[in-house]
Amino acid sequence: MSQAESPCRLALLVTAAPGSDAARHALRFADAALAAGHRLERVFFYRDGVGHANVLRTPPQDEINELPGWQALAREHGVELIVCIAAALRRGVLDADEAERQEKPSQNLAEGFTLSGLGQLAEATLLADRVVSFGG
Amino acid sequence: MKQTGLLLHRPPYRDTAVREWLDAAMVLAAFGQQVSVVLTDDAVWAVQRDQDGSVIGDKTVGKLVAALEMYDVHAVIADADSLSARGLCAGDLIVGVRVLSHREWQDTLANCTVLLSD
Repeated sequence: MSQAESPCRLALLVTAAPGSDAARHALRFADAALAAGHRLERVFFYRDGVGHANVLRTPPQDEINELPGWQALAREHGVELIVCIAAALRRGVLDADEAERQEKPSQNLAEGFTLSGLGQLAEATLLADRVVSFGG
Repeated sequence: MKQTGLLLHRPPYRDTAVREWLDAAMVLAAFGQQVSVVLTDDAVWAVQRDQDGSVIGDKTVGKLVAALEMYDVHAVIADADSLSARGLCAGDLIVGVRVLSHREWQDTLANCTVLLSD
């Protein structure tokens, strides 16, 4: 970051499915923004973006798997990884509570992610200086 | 108050895109944001009056559009050129939907601090 620039509070909205160009751009943007000294408060996963939180997703070894990258953001930088609960249920991504509530045989929400409502997106747009959207 | 613009292109019955974005519009409005929804290209089919999703075993997206006002969504705007290209006119639309030219709705979105698109 140049001296003229001040740190920005950022939030990301990821609607791009895992494996897509836009998803890769989102992760690389997040890494670059943090490296440049900006604050990334929250990543909100919506629509097909909720697939990023599916721990059972198993791409071939020669294809990119974004999951470890997202989890590193949470672990190393305290970035909140929030997954829209309605979009997640619709696409079969459940935490333990929802799996029990919906009487499903297992949960598959990856560590570091949290299911919550669209209100978290609204809050992110209010708190962040910039919301950057990565669609599919 | 944050002004949020939502720009939708996709047809309403191809997938869940329009429904999910309209859900987001309602929640953002409920959180006090001034939300403008702009529908262009095939998304304008979502604002056609008298649509019936049950014919194809689906929910009726138009009911969701009609409910936006109740959730304090500031404006629902249909692109004039997209409507005329599909043989639709203002009289074919759900009550409350505004018809604006490309230039007019671009001005609306230019004033938004948050811009989301499908």
